[in-house]
Amino acid sequence: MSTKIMIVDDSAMVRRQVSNALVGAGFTVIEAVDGEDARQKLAATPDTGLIVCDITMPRMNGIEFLEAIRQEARFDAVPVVMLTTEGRPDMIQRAKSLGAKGWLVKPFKPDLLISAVQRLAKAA
Amino acid sequence: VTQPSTYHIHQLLHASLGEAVRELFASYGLPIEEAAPREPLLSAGDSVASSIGYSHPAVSGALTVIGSVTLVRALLVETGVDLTSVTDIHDACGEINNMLLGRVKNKCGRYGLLLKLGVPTTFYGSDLRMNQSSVPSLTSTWTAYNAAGDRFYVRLDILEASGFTKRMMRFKEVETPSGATEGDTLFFED
Repeated sequence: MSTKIMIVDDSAMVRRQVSNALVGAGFTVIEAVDGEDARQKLAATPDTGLIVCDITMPRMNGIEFLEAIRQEARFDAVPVVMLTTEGRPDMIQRAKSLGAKGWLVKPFKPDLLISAVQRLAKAA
Repeated sequence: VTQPSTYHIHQLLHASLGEAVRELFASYGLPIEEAAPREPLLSAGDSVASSIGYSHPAVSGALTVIGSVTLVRALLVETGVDLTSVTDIHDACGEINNMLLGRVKNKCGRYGLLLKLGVPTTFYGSDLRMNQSSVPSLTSTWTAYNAAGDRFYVRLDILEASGFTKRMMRFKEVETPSGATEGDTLFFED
């Protein structure tokens, strides 16, 4: 069975770009429109193997989402890679301190995203 | 090209935006060149626009982009995304604007100008016409670009906050050893 990857982004275009790349590489994809949606879908899909998450989103942003799932032991081991336009060192450090495993800056190259997901999903 | 050691806030924003536009289009495989603006500024046919606000204690404003639906589709075809609905077009234009202003933010951040960004508002219509701003204290600059046989317009609005002197409005490049730029992939080891 292929690894389930959750894509969390408020942009349908970005979700589709990421989904096209990951499905083409053999992954199964679950989409969430913001951090709150992702929390609910993660609870319903606890076998999610990796999360690709934007930072700037309505309702619950990517950093708040990281904080939320790190408080739940059952999701503590799920690797999260941030995919964002943000490049500020303090934000990167914040995500790292909350356990994020990687940081990609948009626009992304599909082959780099796939190799990052393969590397992190394999390590998990 | 030798970069100035310090930038006035307007220079920094404009220089960052010019670089960001060229880099973003190049990343999608579409060359772009600055064009002489037409009057009145007009995007003919079905067009889409997006505006995002930004703020800093010294300055605030908005970045607005406008282009034809054809151009927005052409920009994304390389990524394998086929925009089929009006909702898709709105979303794509907002994301393009977001990536553009995100690049500006990252470039300005290297000079210590840390901008906060809002979320995109988008507009869709035929033959969109854009007026110059009528707010006296607002500096509003339109730049037209040629891309894929079409026009792409970028408008940068800058409103300086009162109480900031010219000296305080100058920014010098600072060390950001752990920052990331567009296309970067960072892995955090345990």
